[in-house]
Amino acid sequence: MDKFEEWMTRGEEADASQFADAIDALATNRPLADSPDEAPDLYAELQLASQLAGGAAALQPRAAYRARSRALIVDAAQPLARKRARVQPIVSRQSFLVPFASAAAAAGLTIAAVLGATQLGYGPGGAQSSGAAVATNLTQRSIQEDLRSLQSTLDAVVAAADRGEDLDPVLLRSIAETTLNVTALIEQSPGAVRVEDVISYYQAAATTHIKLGEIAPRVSSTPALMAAQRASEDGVFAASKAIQAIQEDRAHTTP
Amino acid sequence: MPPELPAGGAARAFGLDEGLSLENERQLVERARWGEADAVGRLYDVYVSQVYRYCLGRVRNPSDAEDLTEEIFLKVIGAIEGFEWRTLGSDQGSSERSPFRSWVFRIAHNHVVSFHRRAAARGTSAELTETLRDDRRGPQELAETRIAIQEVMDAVRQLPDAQRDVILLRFVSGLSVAETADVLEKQQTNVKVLQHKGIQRLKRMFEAVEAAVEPVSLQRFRRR
Repeated sequence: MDKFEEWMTRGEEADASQFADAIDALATNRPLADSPDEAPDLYAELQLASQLAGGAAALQPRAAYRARSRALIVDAAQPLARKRARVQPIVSRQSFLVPFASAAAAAGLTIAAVLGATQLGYGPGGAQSSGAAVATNLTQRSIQEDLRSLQSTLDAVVAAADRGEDLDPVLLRSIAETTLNVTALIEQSPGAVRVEDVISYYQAAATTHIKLGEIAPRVSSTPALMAAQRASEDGVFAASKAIQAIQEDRAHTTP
Repeated sequence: MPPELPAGGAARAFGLDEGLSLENERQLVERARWGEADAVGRLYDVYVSQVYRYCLGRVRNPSDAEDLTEEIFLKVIGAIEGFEWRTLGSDQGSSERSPFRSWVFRIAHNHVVSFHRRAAARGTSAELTETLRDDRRGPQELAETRIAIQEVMDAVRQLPDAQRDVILLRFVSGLSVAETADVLEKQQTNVKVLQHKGIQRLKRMFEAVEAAVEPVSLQRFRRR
């Protein structure tokens, strides 16, 4: 111990030990060895420590922050689950993303031509009940709105970066949340999503990922930027899986 | 008249009744390493307030504290695969010692140090009004607590670094002596001395303020 403040006399050590023992006794509801009259200084110190601890317990992060941040952290752990489960995308994530920059539109059109414009519906025939039609229409409209929102928000972020401004974390979090919403829809309700929407999302998510990747070296890394990058990468991944599932389904059902 | 300790719930006051049993935590950590969303979410729920309070104690600005907390959890998740469960050194106290909590706070401590290194001038004077949430307190009591806590936290920030770190980890975030020693890479005896010196120094600071002006808020704080 070479720091002066960590140097201690035996007397200091004994007092410190008595104080620590008293805190442990209080924490476990055991009686203290000395009474307040016998050790008024110790009691005054314990009183201050307990008031500090009790008052600090009221300091909590905002509920809205907590909910959003929790979702972000849980989402950040998903690559661990995928890694452990050894899930293989149709192509590796990197090789999928890198060449996409110049060919996104063309690839989307090619996939649309191959698959045709229809619902995803992985099951045999991809049939949908008429009762699902209203929900499906709402879903389509929702995805299109989400994609428009994603595009305009991304444009604002890119413009800010081009002007050399700090990136607005609210916009970045909006990108992450919008992307996560569509990804969740594709993963959890594939029967309600049209192929065109998946392709559009595939292009939008890849474009977002690439543009954020271009911005990242020019700005200081923030949790919001990292979350948006991760969410867009997951979006590409989810869309690619959905397209792969359609391809496999078509292969099985086509005579 | 000798000082009185808060009636009932001293364990609660010291924050040592928060958290999980070691066995439950170990299971959650193992599941979180596999990316199980429920386990990750539960660990977040258990530690977010403790980490946030530590960050708030270091940066004062609630927005910065929130950003730091999120960054710390992202680091935790990013590194959790490499976390190894190991037994902490023995502690004379009876509180449980979590190697995972120590690990989380070591990341938090290092991250906050880096934050200050990167942006030494970033500290602002944001009030703590948005951060106080306690439905069990009435408006009057909450207002008094707000003033008192802000003053106390400000005083804690004025302590020498080593004392400040120990006080924040021990009394604001609720770590045990052994956990605090592990986070700060100090011996437990040193942690005990630093926590005692820190509390003594805080006490002298409040006594000096009282002697000078006896502000209403401090009278209220000390009566609580």
